[in-house]
Formats: sequence, structure tokens, C-alpha cells
Amino acid sequence: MASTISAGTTSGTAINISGDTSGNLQFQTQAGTNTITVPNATGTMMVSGNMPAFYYYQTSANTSLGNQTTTKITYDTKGYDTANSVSSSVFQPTVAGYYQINAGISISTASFGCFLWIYKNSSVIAQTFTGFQVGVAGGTGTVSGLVYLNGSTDTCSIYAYQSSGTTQTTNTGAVTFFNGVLVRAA
Amino acid sequence: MLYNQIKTIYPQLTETDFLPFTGTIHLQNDGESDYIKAWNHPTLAQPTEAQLVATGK
Repeated sequence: MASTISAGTTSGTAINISGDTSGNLQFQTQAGTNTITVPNATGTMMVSGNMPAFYYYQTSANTSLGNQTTTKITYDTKGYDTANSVSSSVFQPTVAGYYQINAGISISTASFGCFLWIYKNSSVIAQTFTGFQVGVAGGTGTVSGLVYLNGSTDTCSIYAYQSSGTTQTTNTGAVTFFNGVLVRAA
Repeated sequence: MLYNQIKTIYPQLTETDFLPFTGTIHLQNDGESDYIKAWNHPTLAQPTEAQLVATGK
């Protein structure tokens, strides 16, 4: 149950307030087809302060990708991590829900193709394949996905795979990154 | 690198054998060092640690 503030369509009884002791509050219309607008056109609504968002990238420590070896990308610099949910380049939030996850990787020492994956636990849930060109430092492959994480045991990390014939290393800077945000709670 | 060690032991292996999803040999690195995550090659046995070290690579 929840305390409710309801909007109706009958003059004189258009607003109904009903309380209980659950601690929950709902805004609702008394007729199902009507609309609730929060806030007004110029207002701002704070949804929750407990919605994890993070952004990590590489500055001095790049990642060496062994030939034909699925390799976890590691990040040595934190841009922000509102809930301190990333450890050793693994995202493990304590809030259950659907997370928008994004990652990018840049390599410019050879011309080859490279898989970039989002892993949920030990399974691939999103993939891209990018062709890199030698000497083109701005080349970045990116991958995105909407991932459900249970807020306790589920983890998310980024892996890459290349088959150039030799070891390749990522370019440091904002071109090799890992970020994410909760977009809908469970 | 582990890939080079394995290729030294089994030079007949090809790129196809190591491909993700379709290959029979899966090498991985979780941030520490390379390791054999899966070895399902139909005829060649997974090399031992001693064999890998003996390659000198």
C-alpha cells in the first residue's frame, strides 16, 4: 500500500488524499487515461541520489592485448564513480536495475580487426568488431549495451580480442574508456 | 605470450583454432596473465605447464 494523492475529474472532489503508514507515496489519476506531469515545464525533478554512474579511462597504464587472446581491458583513472561500484575495472553495483554500459578502445600501431565485448559475469552480452588502421591514433571502436544487473553478485567488465599476429597495446587517454549509468531500477 | 608458446608446441594450429565462439582453443587474460580457459581441440592434447615453460617464450 501507499499514501496517495489522486487527481479526479469531478468538480469539488478533484483532489483526493489518502494516507497509510507504509512510507510509500504515489501520485495517480482517478481516471486511468489521464496524465501526471512532474515537474512543470520549467521545473527540475530529482529522481534519486542513489543511481550509480561511473566513468573510467586510461592515462598512463595501457592494456596489452596478446594475439588471439581474450583480454580484459583495465583502467587506471577514475573520472567519477558516484557509488564506488568499480573495483579492478569490474563494475558491480549494489542497486538492482538496467544499466546503460558503454566502452571504447583505441589502437594505432597496426592495421587489423578487433572484437570489443561487454561481459556480464562470464558471458558476452554485447559485441562490436572494429577495423583499426596503422598510424590513425583517433581510431576508436565502441560498444554499448543495456544490461540488467541484480545489485549483488552480477558484474560487468570489458574484454577485447585481436588477431593481428602480434601483441597490441591500447592508446591511453579518453579514447579507451568504460562508463555506465542506471537508467531504470528493477 | 601464451599464444606463441602453444604455436611453438603445435605449429600446425591455425588462426581458426583460436577464434572466439567457433575455435576450439580459448585463451584469456583477466588482468593478470594469459591462461587457457578452454581446450577442446579434437586431436591435440592441452599442453602441460612444463611443455609451455620449455618453449622458452
